[in-house]
Amino acid sequence: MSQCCGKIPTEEDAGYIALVVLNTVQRYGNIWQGDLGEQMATEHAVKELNLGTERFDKKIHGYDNVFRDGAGKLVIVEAKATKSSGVASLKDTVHGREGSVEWVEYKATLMCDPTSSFYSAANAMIGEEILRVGAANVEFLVIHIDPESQLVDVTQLR
Amino acid sequence: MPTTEEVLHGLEAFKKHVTDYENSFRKRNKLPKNFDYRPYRWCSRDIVFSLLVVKHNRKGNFLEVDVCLIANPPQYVENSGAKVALGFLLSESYKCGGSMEIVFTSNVEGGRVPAYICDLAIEMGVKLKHVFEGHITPFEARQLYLGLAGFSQTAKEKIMKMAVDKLISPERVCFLIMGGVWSLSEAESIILGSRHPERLLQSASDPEDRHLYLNDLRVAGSAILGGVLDRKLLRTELFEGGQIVESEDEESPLAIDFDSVYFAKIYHADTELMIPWIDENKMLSAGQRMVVLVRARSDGEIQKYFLNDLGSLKKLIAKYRKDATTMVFYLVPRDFEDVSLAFQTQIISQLKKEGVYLMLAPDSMTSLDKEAIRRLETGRRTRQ
Repeated sequence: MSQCCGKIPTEEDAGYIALVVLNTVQRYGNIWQGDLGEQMATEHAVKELNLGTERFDKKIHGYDNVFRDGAGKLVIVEAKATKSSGVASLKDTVHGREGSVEWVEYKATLMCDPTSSFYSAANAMIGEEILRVGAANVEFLVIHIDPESQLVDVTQLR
Repeated sequence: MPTTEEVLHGLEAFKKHVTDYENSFRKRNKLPKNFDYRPYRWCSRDIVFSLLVVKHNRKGNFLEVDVCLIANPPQYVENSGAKVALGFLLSESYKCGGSMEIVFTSNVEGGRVPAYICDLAIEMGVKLKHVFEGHITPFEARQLYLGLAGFSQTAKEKIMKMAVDKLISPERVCFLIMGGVWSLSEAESIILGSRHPERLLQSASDPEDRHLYLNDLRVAGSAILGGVLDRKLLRTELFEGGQIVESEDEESPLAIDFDSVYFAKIYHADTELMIPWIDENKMLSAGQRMVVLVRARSDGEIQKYFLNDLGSLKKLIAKYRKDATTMVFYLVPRDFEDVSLAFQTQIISQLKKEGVYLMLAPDSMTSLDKEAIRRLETGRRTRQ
C-alpha cells in the first residue's frame, strides 16, 4: 500500500468524498455485491451443481457464498473471475490461504463473534455449524469464470 | 459492519464537523487545540480508508471519537482501513497526553467500538471488553498499539521489561515508530542492540553529557545505516518509458531480522533482489539469506577497529554459514574511501579471504550523525 495520507479536509474535499460514498452506498448498499463473477458463480452453483441457497450475509474478505448440497451439508463457494486459474487466484492472508482449513475456521469464528463485522444472525448459525462439524469437513468449491470466454470450471478443494 | 443508515449518519456528522472547523479555524486563520474537534480524512491516492473526527476530552482525560467511518477496500489487505484508523487514534491519544482510553460517541455505529476495529483486535489476539459501551481501555490500547507497531516477540518482551522497570512506556516506543521518527527495524536494532535503549528512545542524554550523548549518537548512527540498507532493498524499481522509476506502492517481499550479539542484520528474500553497494553485480535469489554486519565508523575508526570487526565477521560466518548459500557482508559508510589506499587493499583482501563482501553505503558518517541528531531532537519534543 502506498503511504496513506491524513489531512484535515476542506469543505470541497468533504463534499467530494461524501458524494463518492453516497453514490457507492446508494448503488451497492454497504457492500459491493454487484460483482458479476459472483453472480455467475451463484447461478452455476444453483443450476449446474444443484446446490441450495442458504441465508448468508456476504462480507468483504469473507466467504463469497454458502450453499447446501442434496444431503444437507454446507458448501462454501469462492468465486474467481480471473484470467489465471481459480486455485492460483486464491490469496494468502494472515490466517492461511483462502480456502484453507485455517482460513475457513478463522472466518467461521469471526461470524460467531457478536463484536465482529462478519457477525449477523444468519452468519452466526453458519459459523457455528462449520465449527461444530470441523472446517476440514466442510466442502469448499472454487468456481472460476474466464472473463473473456465466460467458461466456468469448478475445483473442489475439499 | 456498519449499516447503510449508520454510514450516512456518520457522513452527515463528518460534513458538519468540516463546516464547523472551516468557520472556527480555517477562515479565522487559527489553529485548533487538542480539545477542539478536528476532522481528518485518510486516503491513499483516490481511495478513502477512513474518515475520523476526534478531540481530547479534558474532563475524562480520554480521546473522544465522534465520527469513525472505516472502509475495507477489497483490493487491499484485510483490515487495512482499520489499521489506518486505529493507528491514528492511538497516536493521537498519546500525543494529546491522555490516559490512552478511547471513547466512541453515539454517532459511531450507535456508540460501539467500530466493527472493523473489533475485527483487527481479534486478528491481533486482543480481547476488547467494552465493545458495546464504545470504550477501549488504556490496557487494551497498549496491546493494540504494540500489535500495530509490529515488533518481534523478543523486542516486545524487552519493551515490556523496560516498562516494568519504569524506564520507558511502551506507548512512547510505539509512537516513535508510528510517528516516523524511527522505522520498525531501526527501533528493533536500538532496542535489541543497545545496552540502554531507553536513553536513546527518550532522547534523555544532552550534548553536555558528552560520553553518553556520543554513545547514543553512535548507536543511532548504526541503526540509521541499517535502515538505509533496508529501504534500498525494499524499494522496488520499475522500468517505465526507458527510465527507472521507484514504486511507492510496492515493496520487495523481504523479511528483516536482527542479531543483537553482533549488531548484524539478516535478510531473507522471497523474490530475486539486486544487492546494492558492492563492487560486483550480485543477486540475492529467492529463499537465500544475507547477513550484514553493520558498522557506522569513520575512516579512523575503520582502521582502528577493523581487526575487531574481522573477528565478529568470522563468528558470524561460523554462526550462519551452516547454510552454504548464505552471503555475508561488511557494511560501512562512504568514509571507507578516506582510509589510506594500502589499508583499503589490506581490508579488501582479508575480507575476500573470508568470503565476505565489502558493502559501501553512499552515506558518510557526517550525514549519519546529522540524521541521528535530528532524530534525537525530534524525540526530545515528543511526549515522554
